[in-house]
Amino acid sequence: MIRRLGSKKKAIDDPSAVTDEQLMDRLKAGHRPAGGILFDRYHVKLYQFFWRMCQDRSLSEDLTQVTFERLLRYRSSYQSGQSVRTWLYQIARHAAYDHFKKNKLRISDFTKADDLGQADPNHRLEDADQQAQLREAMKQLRPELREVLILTRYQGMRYQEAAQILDCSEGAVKVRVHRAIKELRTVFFNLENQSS
Amino acid sequence: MTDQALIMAYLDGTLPEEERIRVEARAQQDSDFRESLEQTRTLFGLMDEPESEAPREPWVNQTRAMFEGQDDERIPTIRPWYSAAAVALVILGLFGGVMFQQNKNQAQQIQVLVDQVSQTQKLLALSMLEQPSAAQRIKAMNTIEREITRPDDEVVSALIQRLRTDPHANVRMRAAEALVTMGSHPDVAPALVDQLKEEVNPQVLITLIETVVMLQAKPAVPALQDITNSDQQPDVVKDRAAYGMGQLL
Repeated sequence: MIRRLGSKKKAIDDPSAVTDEQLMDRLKAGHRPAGGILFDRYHVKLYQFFWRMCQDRSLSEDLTQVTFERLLRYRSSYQSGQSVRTWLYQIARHAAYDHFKKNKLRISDFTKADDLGQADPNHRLEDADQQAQLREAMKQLRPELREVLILTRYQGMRYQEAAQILDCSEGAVKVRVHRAIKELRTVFFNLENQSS
Repeated sequence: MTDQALIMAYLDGTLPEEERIRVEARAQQDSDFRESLEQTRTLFGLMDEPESEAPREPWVNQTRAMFEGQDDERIPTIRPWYSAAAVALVILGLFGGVMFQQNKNQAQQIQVLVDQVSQTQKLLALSMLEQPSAAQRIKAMNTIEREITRPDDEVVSALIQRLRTDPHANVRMRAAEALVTMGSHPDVAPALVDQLKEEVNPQVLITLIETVVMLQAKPAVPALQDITNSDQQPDVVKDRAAYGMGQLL
């Protein structure tokens, strides 16, 4: 249905042809369904970001929901042309930070032991064990190192984009990633030695 | 470049050919380096596996619903610069006419007339603010925002009074929004900050939080902190307060 409210409020016939930034401009102009397309594009990735941080399914869903509520609430502060993905992850980080601050918890305190053993049934047992071991090792990393690994290795972001989200230089991200991998390697293989 | 950085660049395939050969040669000779390389390769292999974790379907449907429905309904208001432009055009027209006629007395009369109309509009809007119907009071605020381009103490004071005492939450919300457009008046920001401490309605509180952020009213931070720490407030309000505090600090 084409609405007679000017070009910014026309229905989106082919969502794949519209960029995130165009969708955000339309959402900002009051066209809510544009936000629905952004939700479709990002909710899984954001959920996985939170899940890798806290390894709690319900909390990850809650924080993802808060992120989209804030996207809707603060849409008027979006600056046209700004990367929506970067902006969304910045909102997501704030949502997580607010949550843990409010509950006076550190992210590393907030992992559910029963989640750690879960694994994809399609994988071999050994592989599932290794994934569980990796999650345990990730849990033992400091939150700032865990976060940078999640963004760059699991979410596939370039260092430059991660730097914008983390509000630091690209060089600082690189250093943090190298340090994180080094620490993760140590923790992971220590766990392996303990279990064998 | 540290060994760890070198190994990561090698595994990510970002090293030039010459460097790659050097890394491979070193891995043959240096057992510690080789172990680091193999361990990092194992980790990368595990991390590169497709992510299987996903949110539950009922949650997805429920959460996506916030973006369904029609476009936002907004109370149609005339933007301030439209009003300013309209007033400027009227004044220019009046002055043009005056210049054309070269009649000072007429210009003075016209100015008196303009002032009288403006004063009448103000009095009308102020009296509408006292109407028993909430819809009328909201309409009065629309008129004030639209027509009164230079609100004086009397108008600001009347709106602050509504913000503090109106029994209807929608009117208090609209008062807060109208006051933001008068943010340069010295009484506005303190009134909004004070009301943050008194307001009990979550929707009005959220609006107030947004207004103090818009005005960058830093004295609001302690009140926002109190809201964040309160056991009485719903999470959605506490989240907004925490976010607002982040914007002000």
